[in-house]
Amino acid sequence: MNFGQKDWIELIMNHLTLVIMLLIPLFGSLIVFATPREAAAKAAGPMALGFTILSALVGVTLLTRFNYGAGGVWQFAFKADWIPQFGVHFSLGVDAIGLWLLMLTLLITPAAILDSFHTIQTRHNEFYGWILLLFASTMGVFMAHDVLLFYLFFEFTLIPSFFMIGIWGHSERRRAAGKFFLYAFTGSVFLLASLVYLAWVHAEKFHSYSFTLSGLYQAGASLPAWQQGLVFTGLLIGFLIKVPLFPLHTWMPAAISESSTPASVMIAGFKLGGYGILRFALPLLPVAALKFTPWLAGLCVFSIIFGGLVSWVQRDMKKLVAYSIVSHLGLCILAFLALTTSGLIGGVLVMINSGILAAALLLVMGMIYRRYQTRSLHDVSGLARRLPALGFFAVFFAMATAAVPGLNGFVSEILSLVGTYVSGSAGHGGSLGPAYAVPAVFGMIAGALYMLYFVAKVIFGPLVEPVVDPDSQHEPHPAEPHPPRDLSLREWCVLTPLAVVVLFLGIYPAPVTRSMEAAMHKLESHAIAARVSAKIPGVSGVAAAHGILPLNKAAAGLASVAPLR
Amino acid sequence: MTTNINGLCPEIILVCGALVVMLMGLARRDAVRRATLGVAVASLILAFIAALRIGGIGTTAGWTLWPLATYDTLLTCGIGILTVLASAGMPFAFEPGNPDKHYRGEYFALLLTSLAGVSMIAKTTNLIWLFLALELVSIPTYVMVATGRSNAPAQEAGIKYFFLGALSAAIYLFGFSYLYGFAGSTSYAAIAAAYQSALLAGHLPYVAIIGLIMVVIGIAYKIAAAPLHYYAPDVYQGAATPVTAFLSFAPKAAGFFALIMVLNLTGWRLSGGAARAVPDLLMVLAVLTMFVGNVLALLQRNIKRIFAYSSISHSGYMLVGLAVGPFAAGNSPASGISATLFYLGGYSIMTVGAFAALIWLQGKSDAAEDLDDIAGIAGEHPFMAACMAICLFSLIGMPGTIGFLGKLFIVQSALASGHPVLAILVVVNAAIAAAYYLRIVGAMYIREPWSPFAVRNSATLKAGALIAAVLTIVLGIFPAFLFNQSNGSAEAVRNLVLNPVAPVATVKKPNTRPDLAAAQPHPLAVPAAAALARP
Repeated sequence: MNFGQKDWIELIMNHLTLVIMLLIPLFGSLIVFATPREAAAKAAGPMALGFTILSALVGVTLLTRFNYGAGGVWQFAFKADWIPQFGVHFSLGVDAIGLWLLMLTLLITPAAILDSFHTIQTRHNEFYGWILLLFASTMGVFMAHDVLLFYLFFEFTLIPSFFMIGIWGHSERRRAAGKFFLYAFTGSVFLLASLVYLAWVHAEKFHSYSFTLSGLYQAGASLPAWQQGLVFTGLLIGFLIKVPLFPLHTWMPAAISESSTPASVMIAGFKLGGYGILRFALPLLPVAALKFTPWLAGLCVFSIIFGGLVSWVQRDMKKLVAYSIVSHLGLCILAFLALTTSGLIGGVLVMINSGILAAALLLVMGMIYRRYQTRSLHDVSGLARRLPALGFFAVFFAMATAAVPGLNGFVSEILSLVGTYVSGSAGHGGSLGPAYAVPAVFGMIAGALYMLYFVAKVIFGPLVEPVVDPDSQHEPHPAEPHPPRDLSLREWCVLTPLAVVVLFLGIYPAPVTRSMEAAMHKLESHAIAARVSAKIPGVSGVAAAHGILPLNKAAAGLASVAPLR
Repeated sequence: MTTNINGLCPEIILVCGALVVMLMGLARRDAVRRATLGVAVASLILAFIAALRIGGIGTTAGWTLWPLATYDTLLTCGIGILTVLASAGMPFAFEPGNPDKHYRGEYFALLLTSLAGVSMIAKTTNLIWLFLALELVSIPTYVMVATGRSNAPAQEAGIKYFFLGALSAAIYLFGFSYLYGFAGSTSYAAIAAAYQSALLAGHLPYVAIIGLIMVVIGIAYKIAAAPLHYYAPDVYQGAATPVTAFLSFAPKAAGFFALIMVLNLTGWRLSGGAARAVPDLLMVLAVLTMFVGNVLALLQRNIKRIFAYSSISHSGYMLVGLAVGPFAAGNSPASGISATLFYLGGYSIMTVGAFAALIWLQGKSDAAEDLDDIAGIAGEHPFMAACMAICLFSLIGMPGTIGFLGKLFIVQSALASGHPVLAILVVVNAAIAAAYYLRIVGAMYIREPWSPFAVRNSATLKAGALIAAVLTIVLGIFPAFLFNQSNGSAEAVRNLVLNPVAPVATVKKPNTRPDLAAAQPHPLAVPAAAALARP
């Protein structure tokens, strides 16, 4: 066989891209960890940023080379044996869903690292090492095509997050870190048991162990309903804690408010739980998913309203964002459960947009904290007078979070709500409907309330600035000189890319939504087939099969038209 | 005990090493005494190589399961090296002229002797030999506990350990006597044949069940299974930390291999009627041990006590594997035995690694045992803290470490043999366990230091911790070597059970394997069994 230079380039471009993206930060973290402490104070941050950007540049080339026509197909696949006796492969790839969540990761991480130049003043080498490991493992989650590999990355994110929350943060950080780890670990052991059970079912039915997604899809679908229910419960415990959904959310406000800005940005920005539900829980166990839908959707609606209202009464800015995440991701899971193409696409958009916006707001709040040493809404007011640029960004991101048309929050919320509304009607998958969509609208109203409250309180109104005692410098954010200056160049660099993406996704989300259609279509028809085979009343298979296409078009049309209205 | 003296080569090497070390420990010059550690490591390495070379010897030699025996020896020697490295500098302060604080050869001699016992367990073919091997493991450890430290708690721990150990030996010896009464012979082949014919006939005499239960309970003490775990926290805390490290490995490995050997006799087919008591007992022990270990560990602040309870809980996980046995449905890659053996290897590596790091962090005084004593130590000693953290994360079962694969195989074997509830209990316990291991990691990394640290700057110790940490990760990512060893051993067990060898004939003619129908009980077995058979 003639394996020339061209083939090598072919191989690297098509199959090794993802591996390279993973290896750069992994390798980088080793170097950063090994940097002596004195040198690391100066060098670790730029090195970490360099590795991240390098990996991101490789990642951005995926955008140009991805075959959007076949968004449901795993592309850039890489596969190697790992534990062959057990059917475990080191198998990577991305489809349209993974691609956009990967891009989210690539967008947020450099911003978080750039922000930590200001924020992190101790144990630099450890911090940047952990951040690179978290970055790598999060990317791995979105790339993994083998379920055990997914679990490995999913679980591994806990270690760097634990250290990042626990070492650099506010006074209650230790408790928050422990709570975070124990919650997530408890959930994920049930997840593991469920996944292993599915693999064993595959072994029993098809005479070989397999942890590949496609293999487990077969195994899951072959189970009787009650077993599916048990396995589904295990998966749900793992993923819903991570999302987080009421009542499993209590780690989240603690982890976000007590950790340093970069750590909270990364915890809030990476949407592992929602991804798990979409990728694994729903398609692996379609019948159970349908059976559980009413209960789970009720929980989501409650979560939406609960999160919004609790967010409204928060006096701690970062907690406000934390509860807004609970609210938004409730909507995301609700839209997934709708099992309509527009709902599924809307749900993914909610994950992406909520990730960007929560990260951006937390960064802005970190910048306020750096200047005034406070996270309380009562201590500062009227910052637009003192810091107009920061005020602009705060208002901009707050408006996007409150779903103002023209910005990204609006697109995702409207798509999710429409998807939920039409779910269960003739020709659509799922079994939700107006009864779930209408109460969920209150989430949007609550979103406007708490965001406007935040803006009115902190950015506008009379100028109130707390006097910062330079001697009582809180960890981890060292105080700046008084009176504070407006955004520095570095802070501009942190916020501008996020703002650009917010605007772009608000005005022209079509590339994202269209690319995901094929993948979502697959999921929806899968769900309808399951529903037919489980003889759940409400829709006939034939009608469903005919009904998908028009809806699909409608969803795409809506996606491109809605923001322009 | 074996038909081939070559097979005993590793144990012979270990015992010779022990004798040399003993003599060198009596030398006048310190340099010679100090070299005992090197000799101990060298003899362990030699034994390891010997075990590798004779790996396939006489695979058909009747009741000796060579893959299992080889795995036993490899594990013993491999982990033995780590424990010797972790024991660097016993005793803790060197004072010329003070016999208590002197390099002492007998420590390593005892250690090697005990290891020779562990290595021999899987080679036994007779209950008498099994008893002797178990005692060979235990008796040196009594001395090690009592003399490792010269303070009162160590004496107390030694006494406690000795009396309870002797009691447990009495229990399983009594159990052996029942088995002898049942089969009329102490040889495995005869007992297995007696079990087989009794099971085929459909009624197993009570004496065979009671004997077995007593053996299991006696050995449960060795592996610190609840409710026979009460000595463990006190003994672990009282003993010098290197001795504790050794205790967390040697008796436990010996116990598990012994349990496998004994349960082999029953063909792992005790089900229905009174015979169910044995698998049920194993299952109850497993669940109880997991919960007792993990829940009580949550309440501890002394690191050595935490490790004691943690080692109890890990016995629980391994008992799950034993309880579900060697038969897994479908073409499951890991049966319960295979999972237990894999877990045993992984557990030993990560526990000894954690102890090595703890010994280093404890400093010369050997006193730093509280969580507060190691608070914030990562800032000053990042290397050893990292080794410890890796081992602890592995004990938690984080992916990418050997502990994760161990739990994975255990859960899988429980599911594959139709015990989903056991699998769920295992993962629930893994979640509980995370809390206390995380507390140690948190203390090292997140808390601020309380007082200046006085670490024990020993390159040997450092090497031990580093090797364990690296193995934890490397075997966690590339488990093939360990997996093949443990799986091969489990295969051997399964083959033996599925194609049992006839009692007397095969010992003399190893190449002929009469089939199942031809297997007859030992001539002596019949009257005894008949006499004791229930009506």
